[in-house]
Amino acid sequence: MRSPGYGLQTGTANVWEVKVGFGWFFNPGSAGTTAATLARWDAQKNLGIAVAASCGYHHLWAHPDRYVVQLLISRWGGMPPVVNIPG
Amino acid sequence: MNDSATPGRLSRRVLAERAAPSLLDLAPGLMRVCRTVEQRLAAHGPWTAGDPGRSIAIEQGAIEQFLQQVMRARGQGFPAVCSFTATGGGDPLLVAADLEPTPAGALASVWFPMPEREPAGGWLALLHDVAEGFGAHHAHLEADDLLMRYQGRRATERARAATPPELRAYIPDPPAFVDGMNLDLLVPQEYDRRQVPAGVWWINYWDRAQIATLGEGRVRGAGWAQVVEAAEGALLLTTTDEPLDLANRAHVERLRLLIDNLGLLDAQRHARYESSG
Repeated sequence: MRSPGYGLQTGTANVWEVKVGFGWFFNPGSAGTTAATLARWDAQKNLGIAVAASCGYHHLWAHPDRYVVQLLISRWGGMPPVVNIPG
Repeated sequence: MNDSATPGRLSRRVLAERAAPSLLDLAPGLMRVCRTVEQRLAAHGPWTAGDPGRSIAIEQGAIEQFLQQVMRARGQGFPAVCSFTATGGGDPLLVAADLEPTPAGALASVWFPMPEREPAGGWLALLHDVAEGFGAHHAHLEADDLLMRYQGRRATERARAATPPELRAYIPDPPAFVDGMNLDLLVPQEYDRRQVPAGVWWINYWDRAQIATLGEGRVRGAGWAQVVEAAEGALLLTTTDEPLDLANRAHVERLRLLIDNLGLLDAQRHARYESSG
């Protein structure tokens, strides 16, 4: 179904990328792993957007860490949306 | 800490961008960036490429072969990572690259984390070498705290607008900043950043086209700590003599002044894509 005034598919038309863990993400000693993870997420995000768009679906990310969510939203300009669902 | 919400959780990167129709076009530039990293950051091979990493020589042919593998994997639906890691030093150093479609054509980026130690020759020399080695139209030293100040509010608006209503409550507010100074800009996905810089960072490399958009006299006279000429009309622009620190109110005021003097937000609005919402 379509949400009134929204125009994008909801319900089963949402394609989720759900991350769990990553409590170490901002640890000073994890800079190398953090960079590798960001590069991996960037690649996943780009492919996810392209695949979801080609299928007419709506792409969403979920992450349990509020600060990671704030960073990803800023880094990606809000697309795809990243929601914060604590684990 | 300026941002009360994210103490101790921020990182910094060196980032450069250029127009490129395909990842394959990046091989010479990526080779030069990796060599710059070796020379200025004392990062050592052996190098690996991708995730998981496989051994690679930092030579154009080997990089082209790897980029072809990345493109092939992505074409088959796998989110292959385009990265190179110098594994021989104390801490592995990752250099990541990617290609982003935009309404103005594909833009390629390369980035790597800024290490704690100062590079050989200083940060300005590092940024210069990365920008010119990559063939960039723009490069800067990016910090997450400043990224969130520039883009957090607008990006959160866009995220909420693109989220089904029943899920919008799960989009957190952007970080709050205790100094109360407004540094809001558009997000780079909204406008042609080939023409307009995405922000003012500690050290910035802007090519002739970006400078022309803002006006060369306006750029040179905006109030920089240092302006250094680079090749083909590009400029290296330093905001503060010491590393930019958003906990220092004078630094935030300097940023506000530069953004205002450059008319940066208006320039971003002027270069906005019609479809950006």
